[in-house]
Amino acid sequence: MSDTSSGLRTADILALGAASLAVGVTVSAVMIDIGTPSAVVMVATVTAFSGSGELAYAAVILSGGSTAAAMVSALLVSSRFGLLAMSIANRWPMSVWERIAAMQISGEPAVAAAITARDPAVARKLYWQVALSMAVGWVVGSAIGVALGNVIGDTKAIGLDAVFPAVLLGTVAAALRSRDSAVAAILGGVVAVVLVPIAPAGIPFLVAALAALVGARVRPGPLRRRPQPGVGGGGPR
Amino acid sequence: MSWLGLLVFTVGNLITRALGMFALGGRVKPDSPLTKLMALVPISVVAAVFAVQTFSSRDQIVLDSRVLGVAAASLAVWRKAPMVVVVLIAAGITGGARALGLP
Repeated sequence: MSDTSSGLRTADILALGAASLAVGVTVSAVMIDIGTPSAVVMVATVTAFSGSGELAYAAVILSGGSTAAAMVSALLVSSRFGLLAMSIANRWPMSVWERIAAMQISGEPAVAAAITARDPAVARKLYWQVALSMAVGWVVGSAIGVALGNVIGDTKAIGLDAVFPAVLLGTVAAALRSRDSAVAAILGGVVAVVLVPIAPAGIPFLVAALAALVGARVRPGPLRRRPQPGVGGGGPR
Repeated sequence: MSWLGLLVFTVGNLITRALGMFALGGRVKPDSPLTKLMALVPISVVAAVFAVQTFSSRDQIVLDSRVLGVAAASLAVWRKAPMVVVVLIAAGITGGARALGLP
């Protein structure tokens, strides 16, 4: 596991696991804070495998919403994992069992790493390396959050909320060097942010996926200039 | 979340993931014209998650210290810095900006 086409090395993959661990600690601590039994949090970590879904659930509960509304929000936010599973389904030949395992632990960084590789074998290797590293970090972090509470402290004060977007950028950057990808990314990002104040949580991700239809109409080819580091950044930056 | 909630959450997640993997993705042949579209979907979705997590909080568009941290991290990505550097820059700049009193 030295150089790969995406440029991810062993240390990078371990760093992704560490970032995932930090997320696991904070998500589980939040779930405990809203009164979820420890065992439920721990089982959800493995069976639902959706930190963003859990955070969406907690956010609705904390703002006084019903458990039904919280569940709808959690499922909507997690629905994008279906799209991610769809997009790797034909990336490399998979048995039924590999498909089940791959869809269960799929996350954006692993999918992003996999789509940077042209060779199916490399895509498969990258996918599993990133997915397993992040899965181990997520489960261990969650266990720490359940057992010890939020040992990380104020996540905003230490800038933890900027880590996941930065990780996404780091994993997907290599895939953005062609025009069709750049269009799909920029349009997807802009559409999602514009929809945030209007649509229920989770819906912006699904609508943003339609940006791929536009990207598919663009003739592939290298970007003239260097790929923008802020690609996907929909904001007025 | 209760045990019943956990069951709904788990089954709901399994259904959406299985729909994507087996019902949608699994049916497209590798030589289909849809393959190109399927390769672009994750790029749009990843970009959407990136943008939402950088430029919004809950149901509002928010520009805060995260934007600075992510912008700095994007420079590190462009310079092909190791992931651990990217992560530390994102957290360091964002946390540092907040320590200076920015939102």
